[in-house]
Amino acid sequence: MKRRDFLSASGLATLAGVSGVTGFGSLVGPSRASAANHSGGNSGSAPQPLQTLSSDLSPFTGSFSDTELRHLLRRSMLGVSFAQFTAMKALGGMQPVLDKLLDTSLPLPAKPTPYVDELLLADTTITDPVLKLKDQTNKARLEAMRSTQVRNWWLDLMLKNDTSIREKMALMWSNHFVVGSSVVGHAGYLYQYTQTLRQYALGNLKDFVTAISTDPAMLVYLNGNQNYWGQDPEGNTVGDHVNENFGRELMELFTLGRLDPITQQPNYTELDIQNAGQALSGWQPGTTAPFQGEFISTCHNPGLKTFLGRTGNYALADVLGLIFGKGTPKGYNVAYFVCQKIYTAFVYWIPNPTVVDAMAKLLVSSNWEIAPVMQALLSSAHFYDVNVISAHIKSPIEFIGSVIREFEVTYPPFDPKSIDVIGVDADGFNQYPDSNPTLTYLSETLGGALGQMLLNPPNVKGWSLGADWINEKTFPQRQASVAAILKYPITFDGSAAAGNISLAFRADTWAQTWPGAGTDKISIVVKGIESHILGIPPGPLETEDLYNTINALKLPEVEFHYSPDYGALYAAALAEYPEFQLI
Amino acid sequence: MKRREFLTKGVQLGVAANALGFIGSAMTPIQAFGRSPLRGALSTASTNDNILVLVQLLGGNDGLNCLVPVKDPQYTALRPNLRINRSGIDLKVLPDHDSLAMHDRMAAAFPLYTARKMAILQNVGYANPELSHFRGADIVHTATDSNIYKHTGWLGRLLSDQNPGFDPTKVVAGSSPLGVNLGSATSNIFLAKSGGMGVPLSHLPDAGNSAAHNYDPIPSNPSTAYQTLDFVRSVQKETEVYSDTIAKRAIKANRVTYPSTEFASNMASVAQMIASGFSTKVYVVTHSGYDHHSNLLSGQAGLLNDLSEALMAFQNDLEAFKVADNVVTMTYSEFGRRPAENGSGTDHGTSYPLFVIGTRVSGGVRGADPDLVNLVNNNLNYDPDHEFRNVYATVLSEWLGISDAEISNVLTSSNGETYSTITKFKKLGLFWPAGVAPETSQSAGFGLTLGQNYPNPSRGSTTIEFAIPQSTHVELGVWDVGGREIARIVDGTLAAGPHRAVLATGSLAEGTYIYRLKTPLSQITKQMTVVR
Repeated sequence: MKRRDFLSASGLATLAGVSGVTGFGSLVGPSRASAANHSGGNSGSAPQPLQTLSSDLSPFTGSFSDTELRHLLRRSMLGVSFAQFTAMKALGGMQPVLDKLLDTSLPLPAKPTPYVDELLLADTTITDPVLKLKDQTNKARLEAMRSTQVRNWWLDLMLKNDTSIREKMALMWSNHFVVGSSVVGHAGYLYQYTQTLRQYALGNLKDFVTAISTDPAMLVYLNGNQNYWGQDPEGNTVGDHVNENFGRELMELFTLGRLDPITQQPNYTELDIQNAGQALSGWQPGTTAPFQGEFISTCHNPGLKTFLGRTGNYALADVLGLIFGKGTPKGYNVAYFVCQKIYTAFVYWIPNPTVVDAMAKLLVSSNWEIAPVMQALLSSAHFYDVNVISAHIKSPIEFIGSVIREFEVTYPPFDPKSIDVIGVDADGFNQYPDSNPTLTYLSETLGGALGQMLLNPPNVKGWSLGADWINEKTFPQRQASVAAILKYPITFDGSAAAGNISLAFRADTWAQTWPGAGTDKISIVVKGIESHILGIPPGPLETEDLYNTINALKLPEVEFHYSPDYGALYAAALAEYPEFQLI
Repeated sequence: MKRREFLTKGVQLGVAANALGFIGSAMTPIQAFGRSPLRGALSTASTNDNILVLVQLLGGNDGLNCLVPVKDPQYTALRPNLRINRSGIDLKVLPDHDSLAMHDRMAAAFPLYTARKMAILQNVGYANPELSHFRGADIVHTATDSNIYKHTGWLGRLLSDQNPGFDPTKVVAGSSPLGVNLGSATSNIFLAKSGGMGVPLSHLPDAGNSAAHNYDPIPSNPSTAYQTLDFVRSVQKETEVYSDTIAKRAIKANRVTYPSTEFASNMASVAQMIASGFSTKVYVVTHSGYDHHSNLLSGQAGLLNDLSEALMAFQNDLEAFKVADNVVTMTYSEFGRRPAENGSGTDHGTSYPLFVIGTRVSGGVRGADPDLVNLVNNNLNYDPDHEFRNVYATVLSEWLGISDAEISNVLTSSNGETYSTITKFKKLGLFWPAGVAPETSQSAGFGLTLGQNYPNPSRGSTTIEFAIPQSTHVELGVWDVGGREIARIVDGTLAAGPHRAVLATGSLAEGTYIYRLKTPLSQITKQMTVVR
C-alpha cells in the first residue's frame, strides 16, 4: 500500500452517517492534520476513524490470548517486561487483569521528599535590588531543580509500575488538564497537581474538573492567580483585573470543546468567555501544604454575569454547573469531548465517533464516574479488534518506557535526597546539583529530544498523539536514543563512565531471561523475544537479518552463547525497527 | 550493503553509528547542485526563483505594544499600566509615519524599516474572528472563512498544485523538501489532500544517516497496524533521503553571526539552505511565547528583541550571500491581542500589524492606524484591504508569480472544496515590480516627502503632492502591480520645496497602482486605487 493512500483515508471507508470534521471538533480534526507532519498521519481529507467490526462498547467475547493480553498491558502501562506479562497471564483471564489494572483502592504514592511541602516565595522585606535579584534567582533555581526531581519521581513511578493503569491515566489527564512545569515554577504545586491527577484518574470527572479549576499549578499556569476584580490579593483596590485565560481554556480544552458534537455550532461565544472570566475571579493558590486553591471574596466580582444564555451572580460552581449541563442527555457535550481524549490515548489517534458516543453516554449515566467507562472500553470488542492492536504509535514516554522495561535496562532509582547548594556561578547565584541525573537524562534530555517532556507539553492543548509523534525531526532522535541506551550504553554495567548517568543494559543476561534460553535453539528464543517486543512479528527478511545479527559468528545453534556485543546489536536492531514504534 | 554486514563490521571496527551514514551515502552517485535548481525541483508552474520565509509569532503577538500608536490618547487610556509611550523608553518612531513607533527592543530591526526594506500592514485580520489559539491558527493556516472547516493548508495546496504527482515515499536522492518547517510548533499549513508537502526539521539534519533496509513488504489488504508501520517506514525513508541531500551538498557556513537563540539558529539554518541552493520554495519558522496574558512588558520585550536581532541577522546574511533579492520574510500570528489591558497582560484579541521584509519589498506603513475607539466586542476591527487572504494572494501573485487561476485554486476552491466565499482578492502592491530598481538609500530618503494622492480612489484624475529638500533631478512615475510603467508624470530637475502633479486616470483599468518619487539619492513609494 502506498503511503499516500494511508495518509488520505487509512484506506478505510467512512462510517455511514458520520462526516469527517464532525465529531472531532477542534480537538482532533485540524490538529491531527496539523500533525506536524507533512507526512502526518493524515492528509487534507478529513481524518478517518478505524474500521472495526464493532463500533460501540459491545463486550469482547473472543479468546483472550497472549495477543490480547499483551495489547491490554501495552496500552495500560509503559512497556511490558516479560516477567510482568507472565505474572498477569497467571491471573487467568481478562477480567482479573482488568480488576488489577483498574483497582481504585490503590493508595496514592507517598510524598517523594519533604521539600514538596515547602514553597519558596520571594522575600518581600529585601529592598536592595541586587540582593532582591539574588534571592529571587536562587529560589527560582532551587524550585526548578526540585521540579525536575518531581518529574523524575513520576517517571520512576511509571517505570516501576507493574500492575495499575493509574499512572498512564494520569499521564493522559496531564495532557488534558495541561500545566507546564516551566510556567508553574513551584515543585510543591507540581507535586500536588500530579497527586490530583492520580486521585481522580479513575474517579469522578465533575469533581476532577472542580479540583483542577482550583489547583494551584493550574491557577498559576493559566493566570487564575491574576484574575481578580475589586481588590488584588494584597488588598489594594485595582478595579477590573479580570484575566480570561483559564475561563477560555476551561471550555475550549478541558470540558466542552469549541463545537457542539451534534450541531457543529460553537458551544460558547466570546462574550461567554469574558463573563466566565468575571465569574472565575478570586481564586488564589495557597501557600502552605497541602497546596490548594483559596477563594478570596474581595477579589471576586460578585455582580451579574450572563453565561451560556443564563444570567446570575455566578461563581465557579455555577459556571461548572452550566458547562456540565450542556447537551442531550444533560452533560453530553462535556462527556463527548473528554471521551474523545480518552479514546485517542488508549485506542487510536483518530476518534471513532460511535464508540466515543457510547463512552460519553456511559460517562453521563454513571454520574461522571470514569472507572466504568474504562472498564467498558478495555473489555470491548472494539478495543481488541485486529485493526486496533498495534495500530497506534508509541508516545516518546511509551517509547522510552518500552526500551527501559522490555530490555530490562537498569538505572539508579529515584533518590529523594534534598538539594543543597554546591557553589555559586560566575554571577554569584547558587548552583544546585541534580540528585537524579540518569532519570533527568531520560525525562528531560531524551523526553525533550523526542518531543514529550513529562509535565511540560508545548502548549495548553498538550501533545498531539499518534502519527504526530513521528516525523523527520523526531524519528532520527528515536534511533539515536536506542543507540545510546542499547547499542552503546551510556555506561556499561553501572560504571560511571559518562558523567554520573548510569543506564546499564546487560544484553547477555537479558537474553537469558526468555523462555527456552540455554536449552532450545536460539531461533526459538528470538522468535519469542520478537513477538513480545515488536508490534508486528518480523517477516522472513527481517527475521533473517535479526538472526544474523545475534548469531554474527555463525555458530551452530546448539553452541550459541549470548555475547554482550552481539546481543546489544541485536537489541538495538530490534528497537530501531519501525515495528518497535507500534503499540 | 545490507544491514547485517554493517552490523558485523561495526563490531569488528568498533565504529559508531555515523559510519552507517558514510557507507550509505557513498553508494549513491553524487550530484552537483548549483543555484539554478531553485527552479528545477519545482517541476511545473513556478514562474520565478523567489522564496518565501514565514515567521509565525505563536501565541498572538500584542500589536499595540509592538507597533505603538504613540500619540493616540486612547492607547494611553486603555493601557494604564502597560503603555510604553513613556519618557525614558526609547521607542523607535517611524520617520515617515510619526504616529507609530516600534517597541524599543525592536531596535535591531529598525534599520530594516529606515532602509525601506520593511513594509508594515496594519490591522490584518478577517470577519468573525476566532480567538481560540488553535482554531485561530487553523484559520490562518487553512486560509478559510471563519466558519469553514478544512484540513488542508494554503501552502500545502499551493505546493501540491505546483508539483502534481509528488509522492513523499518516492523522493529521490539529492532532492530538496518542497517546504520546510523549523521550530517547535508544527501545523497543517503544508498539508495537501494528497499528503504533507512540508518537512519538519529541528535543524539541518546530520549528513547522510541512511541505510539500506531489508524490510519485508507490507501485505495486501493490510490491517491498520501494517498501515501505521508503512507510515513509519516512509518517514524513515524520507528522513534518510534528505539527510543524503545534506551530505551531498556543500553546505555554506553563515556569513554573519546570529544571536544564540533557538529561533535565530533556525533562521540561520534557513539562510544556509537557501545559500546552498536548496530548491525549497517555502520555509515556516516558529517563534513561540507571545501569549502574554500576564507579564506583557518584560515577556514581550525579550521576545521582540530576539525576533528583531534574528531577522536583522538573517537579512544581513542573505545579502552577504547575495541571495537577498530572491527572499522575502513575512511574519504572522493566529491573532492579535485585546486593546485594553487586564492589569499585567492582554487577553486574546483580533487584528494585528504584519511585517514583510526583503530587498524587493516596497517599504513603509500600509493602512490606517488602529481605531481604538470603535471596538467590536472590546476588540479591534480589521482593514478589509488587509484581510489576511489578500495578503496571501499578494505574496502568491506579486512575489511567487502564481497565476490568478491558481490563486483561486489555493484560496477559494479546488478539488470540490470551498475554502472561502471571497473570490476576488485585492493585491496590495507590496513588492518592487520586476525591472524597477528598489530604493537603495537609507535615511536620506526622509528628506523627501510624498503625499497620498487625492482623491483616492481616483475617478478620472488625481493630484499628488510632494516636496524635495534641495534642487535635484526628480522622477515621479506610476506602475501597475504587474510591474509595467504606466506613466512618467515628472522627469526633470525641480527646485527645492513643495510641488504638485496631476495624473489623468480615466484611461486606466480599475485596480491598484504604485507611484514613486525618485531622486538620485532616494525614493518613496505609495499606492493609489483607480476606479471608473
